Amino acid sequence: MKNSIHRILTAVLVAIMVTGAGAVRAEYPEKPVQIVVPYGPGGSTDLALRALSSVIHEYLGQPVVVLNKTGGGGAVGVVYGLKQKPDGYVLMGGAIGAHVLTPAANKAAGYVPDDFTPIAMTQLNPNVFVVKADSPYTSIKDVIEAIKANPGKFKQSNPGPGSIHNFGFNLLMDAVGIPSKSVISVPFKGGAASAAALLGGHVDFHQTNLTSVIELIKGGKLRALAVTSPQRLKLLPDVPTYAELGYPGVDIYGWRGVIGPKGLPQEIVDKWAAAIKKAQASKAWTGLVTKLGDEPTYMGPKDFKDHIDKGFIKYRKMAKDLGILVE
Amino acid sequence: MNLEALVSASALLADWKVLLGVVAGVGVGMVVAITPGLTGVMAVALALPFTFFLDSTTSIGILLGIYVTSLYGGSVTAIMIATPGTPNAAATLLDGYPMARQGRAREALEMALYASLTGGLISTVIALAIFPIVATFALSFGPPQMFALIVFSITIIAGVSGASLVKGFIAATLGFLVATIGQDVIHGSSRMTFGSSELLAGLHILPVMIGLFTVPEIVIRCVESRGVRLQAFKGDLGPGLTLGQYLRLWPTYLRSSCIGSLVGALPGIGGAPAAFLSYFMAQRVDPHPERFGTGAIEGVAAAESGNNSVCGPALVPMMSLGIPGDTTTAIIMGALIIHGLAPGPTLFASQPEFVYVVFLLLFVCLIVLLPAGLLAIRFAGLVVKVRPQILFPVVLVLAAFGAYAIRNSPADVVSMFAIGALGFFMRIQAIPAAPFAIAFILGPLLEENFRRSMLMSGGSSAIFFESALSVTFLVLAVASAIATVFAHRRIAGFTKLTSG
Amino acid sequence: MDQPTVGGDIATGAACVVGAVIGDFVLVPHGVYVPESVAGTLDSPAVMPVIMFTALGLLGAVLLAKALKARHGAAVAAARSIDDWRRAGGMLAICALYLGTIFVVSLPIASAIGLFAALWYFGERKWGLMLLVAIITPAALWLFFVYVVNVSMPQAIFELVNVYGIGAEAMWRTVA
Repeated sequence: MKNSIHRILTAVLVAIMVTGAGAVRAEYPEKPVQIVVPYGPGGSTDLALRALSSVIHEYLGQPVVVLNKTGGGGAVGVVYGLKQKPDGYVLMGGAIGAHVLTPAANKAAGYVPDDFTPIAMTQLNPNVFVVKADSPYTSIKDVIEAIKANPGKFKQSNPGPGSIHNFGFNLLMDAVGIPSKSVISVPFKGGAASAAALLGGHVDFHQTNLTSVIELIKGGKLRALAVTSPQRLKLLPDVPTYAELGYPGVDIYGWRGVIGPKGLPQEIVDKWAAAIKKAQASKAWTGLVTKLGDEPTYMGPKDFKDHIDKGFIKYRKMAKDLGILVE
Repeated sequence: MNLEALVSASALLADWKVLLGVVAGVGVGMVVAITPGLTGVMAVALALPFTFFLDSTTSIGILLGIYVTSLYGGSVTAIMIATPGTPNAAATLLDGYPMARQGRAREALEMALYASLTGGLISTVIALAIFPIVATFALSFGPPQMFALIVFSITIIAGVSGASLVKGFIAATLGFLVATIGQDVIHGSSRMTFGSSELLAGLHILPVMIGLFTVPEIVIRCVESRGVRLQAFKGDLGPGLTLGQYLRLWPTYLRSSCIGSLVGALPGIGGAPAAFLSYFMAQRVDPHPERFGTGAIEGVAAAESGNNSVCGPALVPMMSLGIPGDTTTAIIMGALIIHGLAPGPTLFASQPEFVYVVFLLLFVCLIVLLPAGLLAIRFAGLVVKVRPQILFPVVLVLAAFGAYAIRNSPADVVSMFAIGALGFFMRIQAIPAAPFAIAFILGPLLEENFRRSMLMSGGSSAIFFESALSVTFLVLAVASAIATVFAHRRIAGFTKLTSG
Repeated sequence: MDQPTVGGDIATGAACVVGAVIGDFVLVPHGVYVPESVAGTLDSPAVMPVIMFTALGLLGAVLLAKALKARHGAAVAAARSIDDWRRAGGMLAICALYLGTIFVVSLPIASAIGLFAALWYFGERKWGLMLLVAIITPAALWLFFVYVVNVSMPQAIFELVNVYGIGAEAMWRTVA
C-alpha cells in the first residue's frame, strides 16, 4: 500500500517537473490567440481584424480568432482586454475610437493609454467632410461662411459625442474660430445611421471615415469637400486636403492595429510586430485592406506608442474645451 | 424589371457550389437559431471569414441562408420549451407554447414554418416590386418621423394586454426602466450601471426574454411538480396542420408581411419588434382577442410571418445605397466589400444583375428552408419524449450557457436570473410579460428619437408637425388610442360575462 | 399558482409605489450621471427614468386602490397555499445559488451541481440517471460552445470584479 502511494507521488512529481520545465522552454504561441475587437461584427474595425487574422496565422504559427465585445464606444471591449493575463493569448484589436477618443472624452471609461502595450499599427483611414449632392455648398469656405452667418441653424450627425466624427468636426470648428455651439450636433447609434441621416436630409453635414461613404460619393449621392489626409487621395483626386485649405490642424484619421495589455513581455511584442510586418508584405492582406477602403501602413511598437500618447493628450484637451468631458 | 439582368443573374446561380452554400447556410442557421444564446448575427459573423476565400455568389448564398433561417429557427425552442432561440421568436412563444402544452405542438411548429415561408416570400416580392422607392422611403424617416411611428406602434400594443390595463402599463413601465440601464446615446453618460463596465452596453434582449418567459415557466412547473408526476406534453407532437387551417389565415400573412416589410426597411429596428407588432395587430383585428395568449394559432402565424418579412426589405437600402439596416445586413455588406462588390449606387448602376442575384438567392433560401424546417420539427419530437422533471432543469442550464454565450458577458447571466425572478412575480399576479418586452425594445428608440428631434429643433415640438409622414403617424396614433379604449371595453366585457 | 389574488395585487401595488420612491430619490440621483450643461433641462439623461419611476408609482397606487376596494367587495379569490410559496421559493433559491456558484467555480461545474439540485427538487429520484444528465449536459454544452462556436466560457474569479461593480464608491456620485 505504502509502495503504490510512493509510486503515484513520484509519478505526479515527475509529471509536474516535466511539464513545468517544458512550459518554460515553450515557444509562443503554443495555442490559438484571441483578438478582442471592441466593436460589433461587420463594422470596419471588425472586418479589418478579421482580414488580418485570416492572413497572419501563417506568420505567427497559430490561428487567430476574433472575439467581439461591443458597447460603451469600445470601452467594454478594451476593459475586457486589459483584464486578461499579459501572456499574449488575448490581445486587442486597436482602433483610435476605442483606445484614444473614448478614454479622452470619458474619464469614467476606466482606462488610459498608459494601460496598454501598443504592438503595431496596421492601417489608416482618412476622414472626409461630406454634404448631400444637391446641397448648395461646393467648398469648405462656403460652409464656413454659411455657419458664421446663421449660428445655431445647421446640424451635423455623428455616432456619439466621443466619436472620431464629432472630434473631427470640432477640430474644424476650432481651426476656423467658430464656437462649437454654432452647429447642432445630433448623435445617432452608429456610423450607418449618421450617414443615413445626412442622406435623408435631416442634417446638413457629416464628417466620417472614407470607407463608409466612398460608394455614395462615387455614386453621386454625396459630395466630398475636404479630406484629413496629408496628401490628396488617389480615390478622390479633386478633393482638397485640409492642409491645402489652410487648416493643417484638422488631421484626424482613423487607424487600426494590435494592442496588448500592460506588462506584455517584449519578446511577444516583437514576435507579433515581426509577423505583422511580414503579413503587410503579402498581396493577400494588402488586397483585403484596400478593398475595405483603408490604407496599409506600418508603425512599430515605439512609434505607435508615441502616436497614441500624443493623440490622447490632444483629444483630452479638446474634450475639456468642448465641454464634453465626462468625469 | 430588367430581363437581361435577370437572365444573367440566374446564370450565376446555376452552379452547384451556390446551392451547396445555401444548404450549408440554412443548416448552420437552423442549429444556431434553435440554440438559445446563439443568434443569426453571431452565426453570420462566424461564417464571414470562411467566405473570404469563396466566390461572391456562394458567399452571399451562405450568409443569406443563415439570415433567413435564423428568423425562423428560434420558434422551435420557443414552442417546445418556452425558450426563444432568438429574440424574434419571443412573440411566437406567447401562443406557441400554450399550444404545445395542449398537445398541439405539431400544429404550432408547422404553422410557424409555413407562416415564415409565406411571410418571407411575400416580403421578397414586395421588396422587388417597390425596390426603387424603398430606399428613399426609408431615408425619409428621420428622428421626428421615427418618434411618430413608434408612438403609433405603442398605441397599437397598449391596452391589448388582457383584462387589466393598469397591469399592462406597469409591465411596460418596468420594461422601459430596465432598458435605461446602460449608456445614454445622446450624452454618453452612464445610467444605472453603478460603475460596472459590463453594463455600459445595456442589458441584451435575449437574456431579458429568457428571464421574462422561460424562467417563470420553469419555477411554476416546479411548483406543480410537488408530489405529482408532471404531465407537460401528451406523448407525441399531436395532429399536424391542415391545408384548410393554413389557407384560412391568408389575411394574417399579408397583414404581417406588410408590417414586417415596413419595419425591416427602416434601419435600426429588426425582427423582434416586427414579430410583436404583427402579433398585436392580429389580436386587434380578431373578433375574439381574448383567445390570444391561450393558444391561438393566429398568434403564431402573425408573429412568424411578421419576423420573416424583415430580411428582403432590410437588404434593399443596403444594396441601393450601401446603408445596412441592421447588424446582420452590415456583416453581409462586409462580405460583399471583401469580394470587391461594395454595395452602393455605383454597384447598383453598373451591375444591376447583382440585385437580382441577391433576391433570387433569397427565394432559393426560402425553398431550402422548407425541408430543413420539417427536419427540425422531426427532431422536436424527441423533446417530447423527455420527462418534464428532466427537461426543465436542463432548459435552465441551457439558458444559463446561452445567456453567457451571447456577448461573453457575466452581466447577461446575472440579468437573466434577475429578470427571471421579476418575471416570476409578474407572472403570478397576471402582469403580462409582452408589454414589458415591447417597452424594453421600443422604449429606448422612443426616447432617443424624441431627444434627437428636440436637439434638431432647438427645443420646439413643432418639428413633429413639419413633415407629412410624422403628422400621419401621429394622427393614426390618436385614432388607434381611441380604438384601444373601445377594444378594451370589449375584452373586459367578455371576461365579465364568462366569469359571471 | 399563477392565478392572481387580491392580496397579491395589494402587495404588487405597494411594491410599485415603494420602488418608485426608491427610484426617484435614490437610484436616479446616484445612478445617472448628468453632465453640467444639461442638468435640469429636458435633455437630461435623468428625465426619462424619473418620468418612468413616477409613472410606476402612480400606476402602483391605482392598482393598490383597486385591490383594497375589491378586498371589501364581493367574493375574494383563494389565497395561495404556503406550500406553493415554499416550493417556488425553493426553486428561486436554487437559481440564486446556481448563479452564485457560477462565479466561484466556473459555469460547467456550477451547472453540474445546479442541474443535479434542480433535478432532485423537481422530483426525479433515479440517482444514476440524474448523475448522468448532470454531468453530460454541462460537458456537452461546454464542448459545443467552446470548440464548435468558439465562445469562451467564464473564468470564475476574474468576472466577480466586473459584475459587482468596479468602484462601488461610484454608486454615491453626486449630481452636478
